[in-house]
Amino acid sequence: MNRFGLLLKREYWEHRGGLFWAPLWASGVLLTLLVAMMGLAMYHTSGNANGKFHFGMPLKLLLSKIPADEMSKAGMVLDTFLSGFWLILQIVLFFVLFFYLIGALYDDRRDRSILFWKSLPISDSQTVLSKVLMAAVVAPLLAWAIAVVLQVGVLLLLTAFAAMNGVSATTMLWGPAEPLALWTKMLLVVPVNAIWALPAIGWLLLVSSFAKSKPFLWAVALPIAVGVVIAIFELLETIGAPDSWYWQHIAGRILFSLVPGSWIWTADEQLIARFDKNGPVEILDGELIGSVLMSPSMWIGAVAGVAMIAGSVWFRRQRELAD
Amino acid sequence: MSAVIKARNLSKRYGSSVALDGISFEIPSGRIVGLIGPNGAGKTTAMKAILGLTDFDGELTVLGLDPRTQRHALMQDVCFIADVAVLPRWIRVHEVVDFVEGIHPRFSRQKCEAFLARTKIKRTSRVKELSKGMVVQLHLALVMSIDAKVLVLDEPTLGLDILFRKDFYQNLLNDYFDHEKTIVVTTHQVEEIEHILTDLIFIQDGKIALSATMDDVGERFIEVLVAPEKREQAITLKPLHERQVFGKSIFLFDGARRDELAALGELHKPSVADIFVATMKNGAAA
Repeated sequence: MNRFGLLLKREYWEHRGGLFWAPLWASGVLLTLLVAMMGLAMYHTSGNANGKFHFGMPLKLLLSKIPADEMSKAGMVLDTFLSGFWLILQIVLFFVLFFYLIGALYDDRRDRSILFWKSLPISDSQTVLSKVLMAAVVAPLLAWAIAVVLQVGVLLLLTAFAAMNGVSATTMLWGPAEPLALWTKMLLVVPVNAIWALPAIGWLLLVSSFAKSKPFLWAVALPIAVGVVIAIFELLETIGAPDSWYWQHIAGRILFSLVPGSWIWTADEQLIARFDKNGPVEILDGELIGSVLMSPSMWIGAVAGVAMIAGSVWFRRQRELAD
Repeated sequence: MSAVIKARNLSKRYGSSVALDGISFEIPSGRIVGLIGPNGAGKTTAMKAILGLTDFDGELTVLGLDPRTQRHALMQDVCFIADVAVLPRWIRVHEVVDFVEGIHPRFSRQKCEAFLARTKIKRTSRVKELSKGMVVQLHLALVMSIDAKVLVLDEPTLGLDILFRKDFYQNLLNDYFDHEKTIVVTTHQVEEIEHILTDLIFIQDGKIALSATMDDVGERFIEVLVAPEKREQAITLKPLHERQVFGKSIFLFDGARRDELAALGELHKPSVADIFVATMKNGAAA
């Protein structure tokens, strides 16, 4: 096993709970909820609830009432439904990564285990880079794999549900759905998220490397305090920029760029406008990602992120123990 | 053999307090050096400087490298145990062994397994589930399986019971040390390590109070048990230190003539602890 791989493995060992078990548990909860909802739907539409109030209509009847031209949207509805599960896991991933990065260069200074890590021939830049790569690439890939498994689970449940309602799963589900296309798109977004998240990764690691205590407070309170000062003294007005510029391009970027897909506002508006007609999955195409990758905000942020990562390598060398 | 660790005018300040006040020393290879001093004397700061864990002024080379800028290369040949219980609490025993094996080119898994086989440490346990003594045993097993040129131990046995402490130094001497290696150790419990040391360095208030080989120390320092009637005579020979036991005085002399002292009373070889106390008190008076 190569050395860098081993550093990544160490990160995984330490954070298995957040990186693996948290999304897995979330998936389990979501599947359970889905089963419960299906059970409820079956109960209320099966005619077994004798004399009791029930609502809704059997799936078969419901589907027969949908006009044929509307049926062509089944694929889009299904993809949107499936991508909803992905989105929930992505939000879990955001919280996991936020706290992972805040502790990444702080926790071992607090519990003194940094003295053990530093007794081994690992350079500070290797250490920091392993944490960057974990947050930017490895953890999102892991979350992708878990999301795929979750979506397979959802599709299987839907198949079973269709069968129990006497509806053909082949025409209703497996025909219109395009899971392979969806999974490819989910994968395609990973590198875009990674580049976009660099300022947040850099900022959180920087705080993690310099804070002598309370890194969370530093990470959140400092950008807010700066924003308040700017607002009070109208610093940005003097150069003709609105206060919102700071919140959107500085505070927002260093705190929330880890939110998956938060780069969407940099895309060409016309490309986003297709959303109404085509749903969220369809618009995630090469054209949209291309336009996002062309935006200066993406790359200026990335450069700032890399600079902050370099800063955290420097602090990693200088700082001794935390309080 | 040339010096493994060379310090000239090594200084370190924390704000207004001086941790190291321009000390110079050389440690040749194949030595076991005790770095001894009261709390806050600068021992740990000196250790940190040697390991490249802190910035400093002056010159310092370890194995010919500058610890500030060449830490990465230095750690191939230098190992250290900074303190007890610094192994990460979340890691499992088999994980930490795998990790060190993969990272350290001079690590021998075979040796490590042999050390661990003598303990009751389970491979699947997390460090936080081990007793304090087991954590030290694990750490020691890891470090002693690395064929490093310099081993630095800072209070390695702090907080451990006497059985572990004895074993620790016994293992160090029997299974690890050879003439290619250099060990630097700091401790409060001087009496436990004095029989394994080859050199002594006393540090007080950021300065070196004494630096000598154990052979020199044996030659220079003599303890004499003096009856009350000869006390005045003994004081004229400028003893380093005096203490009273059962109505008699025990004087510690540094560099006095053995035959002159023999006339005063019974001669003894002083313990390092006694020399330490005497040196520290003298330094404080001076």
